[in-house]
Amino acid sequence: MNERTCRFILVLISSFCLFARLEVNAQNEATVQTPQKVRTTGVQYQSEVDSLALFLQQKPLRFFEGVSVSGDLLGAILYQIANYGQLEGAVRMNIKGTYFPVVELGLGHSDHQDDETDLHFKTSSPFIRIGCDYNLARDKRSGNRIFCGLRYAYTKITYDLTGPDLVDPVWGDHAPYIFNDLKSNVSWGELVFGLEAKIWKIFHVGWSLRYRMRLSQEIPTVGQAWYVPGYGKNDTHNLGGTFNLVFDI
Amino acid sequence: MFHSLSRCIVIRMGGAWLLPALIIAGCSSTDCPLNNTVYLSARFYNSSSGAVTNITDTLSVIAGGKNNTLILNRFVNFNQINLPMGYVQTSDTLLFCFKTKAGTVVDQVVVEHTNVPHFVSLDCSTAFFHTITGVSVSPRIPTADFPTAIDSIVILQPEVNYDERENLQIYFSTY
Repeated sequence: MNERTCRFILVLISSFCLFARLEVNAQNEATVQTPQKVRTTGVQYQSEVDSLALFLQQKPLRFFEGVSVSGDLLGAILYQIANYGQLEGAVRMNIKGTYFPVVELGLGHSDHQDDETDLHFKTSSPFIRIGCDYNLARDKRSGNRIFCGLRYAYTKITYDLTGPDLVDPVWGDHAPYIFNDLKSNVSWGELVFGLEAKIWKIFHVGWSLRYRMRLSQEIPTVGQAWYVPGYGKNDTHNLGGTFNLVFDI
Repeated sequence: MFHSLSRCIVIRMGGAWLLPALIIAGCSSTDCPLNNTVYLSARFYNSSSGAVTNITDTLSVIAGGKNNTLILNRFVNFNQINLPMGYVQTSDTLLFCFKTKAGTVVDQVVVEHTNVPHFVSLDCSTAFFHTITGVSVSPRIPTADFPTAIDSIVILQPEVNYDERENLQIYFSTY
């Protein structure tokens, strides 16, 4: 006897008992008492029959519930308007509506010159993140999800750093400040928290907050990269976010 | 109905948090170093006793080269000095000029070094860090007229950067 059958029998028995008790009470008491309102969490239905019908319609969650692809809208907007941003997409698996292993790939871009120092930084390099999200929502079927998750990320970056000549105040020489094709690699970890809402059939939107911790980096002799694709401004840690458009496929 | 209700709840939650999420997207901070000057730091020692000693003669230091820039002008009774290093050339000539009643005498110190540009962030000033690879000094014996002379120099810390550590120990012999 499987779980569905057991639940069905239990619901039937409890429904029968409920109706029988109401019948007896109605016969014994001269006046009809107003049933006491019970505060219930979640969604309430007008009758147990509706609840039962919906329950019977639901199929058990399979181990592999599907794959979705997504794109980060926020990074793409920043890519266009800000000093740096990234074009980023992800492929995500759905394991029983609870676990969501994910691979995120992107191309980070920055082409920025500081107004005060006239230093110019330019890069366009790829990055990859691998991790898993866990759906905290109690209802795993609705398509609305509350995520927490972890990522490990890596990028191999090539960048140019240029600026005005440095003038030696004592000996009077001019030192050119032009460094092209500097190479570095950076790895970092991310703690992820996010929400996702089902908008229409296969289409979801969601956002995520990400606390990023740099794990390692290779620093060229000139100095570390100002911006790291997929990470943001290069620091020991930073805070970022994404706004995702998600499509189930 | 169930789907739309859940969606409403999640979207409302999303809306409440979305603005701060957008605001802090990519948020981070980089602090520029408070001390952003790079100097070679040297301290004076007595060559006989090995103890820190004050220079009692009037000492001026000139950066030798096409400009002959005066770095230090007529300092007396001091035991520590900060010296600039060249950005481009790998050999700095420093002229230590001792002035007494008898006149002026010059000791020439040559510091060999490397120059490495240093970058912290786009909004911080840039600098050159150096590694001292060698030091030489012109030999001179102190006399009654010029009682102080540089005897020898020891490289204590070859890395010259923002740290302000003692890089050279300059030993003086006296008459």
